[in-house]
Amino acid sequence: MHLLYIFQDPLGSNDSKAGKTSHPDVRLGVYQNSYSARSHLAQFDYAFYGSKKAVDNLEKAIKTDFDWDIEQDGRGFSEWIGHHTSAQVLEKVEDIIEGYRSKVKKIPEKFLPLNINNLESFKEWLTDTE
Amino acid sequence: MNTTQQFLATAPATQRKYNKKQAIREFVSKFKIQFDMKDDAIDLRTMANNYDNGIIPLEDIHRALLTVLGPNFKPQAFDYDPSEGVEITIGNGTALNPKFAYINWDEAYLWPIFQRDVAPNHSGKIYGDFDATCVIVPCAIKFTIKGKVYYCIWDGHHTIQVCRLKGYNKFPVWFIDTDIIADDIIVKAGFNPKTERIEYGCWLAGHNMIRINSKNKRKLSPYDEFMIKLETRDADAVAMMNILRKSNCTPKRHATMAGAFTQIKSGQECFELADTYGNKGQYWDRALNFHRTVWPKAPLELEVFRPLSILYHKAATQGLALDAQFDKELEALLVDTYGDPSTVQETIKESYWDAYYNNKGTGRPAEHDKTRVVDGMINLYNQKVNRATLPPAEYIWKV
Repeated sequence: MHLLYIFQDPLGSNDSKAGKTSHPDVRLGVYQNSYSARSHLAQFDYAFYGSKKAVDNLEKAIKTDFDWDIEQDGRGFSEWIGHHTSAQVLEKVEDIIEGYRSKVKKIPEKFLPLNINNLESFKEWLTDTE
Repeated sequence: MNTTQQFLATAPATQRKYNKKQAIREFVSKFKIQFDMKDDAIDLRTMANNYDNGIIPLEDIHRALLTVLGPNFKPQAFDYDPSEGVEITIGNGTALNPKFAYINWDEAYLWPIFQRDVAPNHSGKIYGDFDATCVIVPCAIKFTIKGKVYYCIWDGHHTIQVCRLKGYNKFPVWFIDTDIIADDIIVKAGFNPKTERIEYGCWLAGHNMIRINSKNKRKLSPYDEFMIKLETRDADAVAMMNILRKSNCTPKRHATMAGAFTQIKSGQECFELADTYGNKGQYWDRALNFHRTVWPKAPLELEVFRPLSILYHKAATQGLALDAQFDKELEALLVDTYGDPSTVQETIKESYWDAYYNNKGTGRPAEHDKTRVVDGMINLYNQKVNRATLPPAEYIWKV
């Protein structure tokens, strides 16, 4: 399973992260590592799924499109889009998907936000659907 | 305090680690029209739009360079007037070098130990394109051996020979006078100033020759060449630009925007595909129009517009009419099967290699990606649509 995910800074800024993963459970765990689940449960506000190539190329297109809004390069920085809520990033990503005709699909609302609690049911749904 | 020091002193103080992207962003934000600044190129053509007449002060480019190079780059920030000659290197500094002079032909020499062989065809080429306004001053090193003065050329030999062919009787040279170089400078380079002054001069000339012609040579990029040709009204460049404009494409160094055209040489190759009357550009034009219609936000993908140009050209050459319906069918096929243009060409090529390595295909394997994708598109269309008659694929496999 290859995902392109978007989530907003859980500490309150209007910055958001857009990234990709083939192991969403591991990725969510990595983010959860930095804070207690009692404070915040790591989640993807929105996500898209598709083939590895489609997701890789979509991520490249997003990085190109946001360009200056990604204020810093380097590990841990290069996926943070400044001054954009996750909803604003989503809107732009949907434009990119339309303009590039990317072959990805949005994860249904019923699984959003995607977190460690509903990830398994999403995977089951995906297996049944695809 | 000179301008470099002023700039460094007034640059915003920050406690945070230097971040090149932010430094560039801050620099560019001072301009009304934003432009790209990357390690391999600062987009001066766009930057120029911020100035009257499009002419940029070199100082502003200097500041842009400092911004990209970052704080670890330490420019020599002191006033330095080289007009009376400069010290060759750090030493006592009695040698005011290099100098400019017009010399006579019988003073001009070549010492092959620090020069390449002469190419008559290159001289002939320069001769055919000669213009006295574009003669770059040849570089030389001056020796005195047994009382005789020799100006030995270490760069611009072909140029000076062509000047001779053109009848010049005085020749401009920018030369280093080895006779006046201080002893300690020669010692520092590892030579004996009493017995090896000439050897030192040869070493310096050879070293400089490599520096200028190889080590520090920056080849003119196809993008810059294209843009200069466009400004100088080269017919093919202008025709290509007209075709690009029709499809709202823009020549760019980096694929950072919708319709960015970065693969200049390959674009020229596509433009050159001509009909039986010699008319160029129509197949490339159709390919670009297809690309921009189908993927309006994407930069131009070489391995999509090139195979398409080739496919249209092949079909026309073979008398096969590919109607507008074909483009619609191909669009649906490519988008439904793969989606974005990068995924289109990458997946077709992967499919080719899978067929090739696992002996799933027949015919003549392709030697180049462009042919692989052409064959892939033909095979895919024949397997899934098969309405229009296409040129035969040279290598057939199930895509």
